[in-house]
Amino acid sequence: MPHPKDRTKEYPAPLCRGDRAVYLILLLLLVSVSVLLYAKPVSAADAASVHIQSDGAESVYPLSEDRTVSLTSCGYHLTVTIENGSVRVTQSDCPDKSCTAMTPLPMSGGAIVCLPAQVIITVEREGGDDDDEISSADIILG
Amino acid sequence: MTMMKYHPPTSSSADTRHPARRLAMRGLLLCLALVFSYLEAQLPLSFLPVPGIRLGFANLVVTFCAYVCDLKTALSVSVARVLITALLFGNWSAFWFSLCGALFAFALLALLLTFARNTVSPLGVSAACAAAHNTGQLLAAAVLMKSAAVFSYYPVLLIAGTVTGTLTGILMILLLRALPPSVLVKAKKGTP
Repeated sequence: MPHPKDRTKEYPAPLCRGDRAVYLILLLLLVSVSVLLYAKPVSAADAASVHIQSDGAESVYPLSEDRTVSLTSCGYHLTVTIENGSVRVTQSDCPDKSCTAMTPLPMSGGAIVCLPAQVIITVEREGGDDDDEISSADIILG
Repeated sequence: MTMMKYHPPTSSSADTRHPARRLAMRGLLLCLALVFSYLEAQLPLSFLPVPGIRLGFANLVVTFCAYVCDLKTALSVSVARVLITALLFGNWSAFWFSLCGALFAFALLALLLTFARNTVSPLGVSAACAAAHNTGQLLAAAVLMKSAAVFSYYPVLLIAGTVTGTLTGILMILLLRALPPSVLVKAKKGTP
């Protein structure tokens, strides 16, 4: 019986130059996406309203008021709790349950997403960015 | 009493030049991919801090097809697995995400095996395809939900995808080393 050929000799060895290039590209992608997403986290003092998009409709609630929102989207029931200036999904009967494990907003600065239920929860502040504000002062000389 | 004389097969059982054998091989690999899909969905990974993570063993079968058989087999197994999983388990909300992810992963797999087969090892290919799979899923989610907010989940998925892709890449290398050539289709040298 012929000796089984080692098929790995037909391919480059693990962690060759090509592999290192792949990992470097993935790392650069990770860093650039993280910077784009989290460079400006929304602080609790600035955050004003919670936007919940589900089933094509959007509901808006003030972040400063504690409340519990029950919603049904795509056949799944979710419970969203707004408490102490943060919002999170406390209960969901979706098969994934990843939405209940996501970091409460606005600490994450991003969004809470439930893909099976097609629900997106974001926190938006009222008004424009601080960079757009121009402070004016009347100077009286004399 | 007549003794039956043993006639050894004239060609390897894995010789897929015959259409029937090719179909049988694809069927076997598709079944394997479906079983892996089902098993990894049962694994209780909720203890991990990363939500939505999957080990990606089904992708191991697709990569195996691409390396050992051909890209057409890999594509047919990948698409059929996504379709049959949705039919069997009734999770149509995830169908479009899975399909987009599978097509993204296959596109990158085809590119790497066509242009960088001698530069990138199965380890790098698996990691890159796992990351492409997650990227495709998020793109589908962004289009379907008409919101880019889903990308806040991207860094976590990218890390998880790279780790699981590395694991499946290691398994792929061990598999190629362990399986004897008599059960493998001979890969055409220099062509994907």
